[in-house]
Amino acid sequence: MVQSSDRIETLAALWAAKVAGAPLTPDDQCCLDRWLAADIRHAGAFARAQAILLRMDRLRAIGGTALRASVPEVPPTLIETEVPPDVNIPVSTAAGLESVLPSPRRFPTITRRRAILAGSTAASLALAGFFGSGLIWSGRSRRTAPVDTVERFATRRGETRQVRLADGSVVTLNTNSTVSVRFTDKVRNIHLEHGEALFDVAKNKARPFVVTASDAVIRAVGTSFTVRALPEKPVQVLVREGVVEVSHRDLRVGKIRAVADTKAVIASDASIAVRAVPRIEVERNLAWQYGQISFENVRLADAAQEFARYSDTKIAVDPAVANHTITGMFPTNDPAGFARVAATVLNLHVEVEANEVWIVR
Amino acid sequence: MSLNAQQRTQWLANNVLPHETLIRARLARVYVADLDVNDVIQEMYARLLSSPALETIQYPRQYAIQTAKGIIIDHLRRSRVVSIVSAGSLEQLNVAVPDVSPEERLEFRDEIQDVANALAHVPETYRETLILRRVEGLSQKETAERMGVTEKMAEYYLARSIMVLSKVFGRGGKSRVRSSSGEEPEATKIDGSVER
Repeated sequence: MVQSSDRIETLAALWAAKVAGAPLTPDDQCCLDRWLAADIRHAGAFARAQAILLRMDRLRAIGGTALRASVPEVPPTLIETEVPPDVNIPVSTAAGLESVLPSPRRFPTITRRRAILAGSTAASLALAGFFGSGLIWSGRSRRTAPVDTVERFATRRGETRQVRLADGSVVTLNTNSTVSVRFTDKVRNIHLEHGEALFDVAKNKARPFVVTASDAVIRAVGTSFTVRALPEKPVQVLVREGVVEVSHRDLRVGKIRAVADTKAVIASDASIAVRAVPRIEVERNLAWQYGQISFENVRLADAAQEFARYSDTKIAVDPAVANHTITGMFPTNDPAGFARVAATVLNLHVEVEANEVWIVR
Repeated sequence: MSLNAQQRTQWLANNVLPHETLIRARLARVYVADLDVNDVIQEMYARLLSSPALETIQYPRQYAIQTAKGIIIDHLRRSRVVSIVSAGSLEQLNVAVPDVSPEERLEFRDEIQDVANALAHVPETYRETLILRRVEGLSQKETAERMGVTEKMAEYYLARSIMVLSKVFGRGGKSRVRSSSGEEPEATKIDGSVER
């Protein structure tokens, strides 16, 4: 069983007190040895507990009498924290103890501990924040001109941009992308000229929201989806909410419905494939909104190509290691940082040249 | 000369425990999913404990941070999953810790104050046990008699003290070493003197 670090800390304290108290019986010694060998953290926590006791020896310089008189007031940061209810005292130490004790299930600790623990889970919290509904966007939104005019919005490499359209829909442009918007009384037309965009569409049954990209036509009523049209790649539609209708420009009959958590790929031969995508992957695919790029078992070569969309600093991958895969989330604007982390994890090396970062064996 | 187990633990008490807050602060900058800083700290103590030439380590704080970094890298390599939100944050652990300046060197008196402050977090009964055992040097039996409890109880009180101090040391309690600059105090010998 994998034990939590808190529980290990508690057991280590019990053992350290026992060892300090009296010579161990052979049974206890055996029990302790077994525990110490079971997990490297046990040995570490035990050493730490003993070190804590030894550190207290410093107070001999003050002496017990002075200490008792001068111990400062317990600071107000002290709070009562529940001991995990499943804490078991090691077999030998527990003998008779639990019954004697007035169930001291609470002991004081300090509030700061929580903050530090929070730090360790910062990654997951950050992700939760990213993907929570309460997205805070810093400006960059504006209302578009009135009906029946064409407007273009574009981003440079490495930039993302959010545009609020006249109907209340929101378009978020990923790096190096351009859309043109033409609204009429009957239809809301958006053309994704190139790049990738997320569309959060305001509901209006009377006035469909139609996105065209390359040969693909995507029709929505009220929904949220991304369209990705990259050079020499089929158009991809990822549906986050609601339903969209996907079709090929030349074959209006062959409409295919794509529901939430699916991805439609529209090949140039007009074939359309729809596959289900786990929710978590949908969100990962949208991490670019927050300046992040997410990989799951992605080949280094492909990851490098993906980074190239976002930055002028190119990542070059030694063909010998191109098939190593990486999983993780990285800032889009730091390809060199990605290269270093990937190299660390995969036991490879990084060589930096002007405007190019090499990942080599 | 190589240190025995008792000396090794003493070395940790002198050279690592006082810097645990700072070490944890450094580790908190590395955002790795599924990684519990407490796990890393515990394993760090274990690795340090079995480090072959503990007594030759000049800059224990830096050494401890590097040890922790090794643990994190091992974790990453095992899991093959990196969720480092701020990529390159592993490098933060490499920030050189400069040599110690005279005013940054922890004074012995400060250090005692530091430990006394940590003691203030311990509830009174446990604290009294700790004072009797560690400061006044009474045996467990004598401590139990003095406090009018069984030996088991005295042992348990001591364990409780350690649990509280476990939370205090290195976790932002008053035990924090007053060195704001991130500079490295030199290794302290077993007897408490500072190695030059």
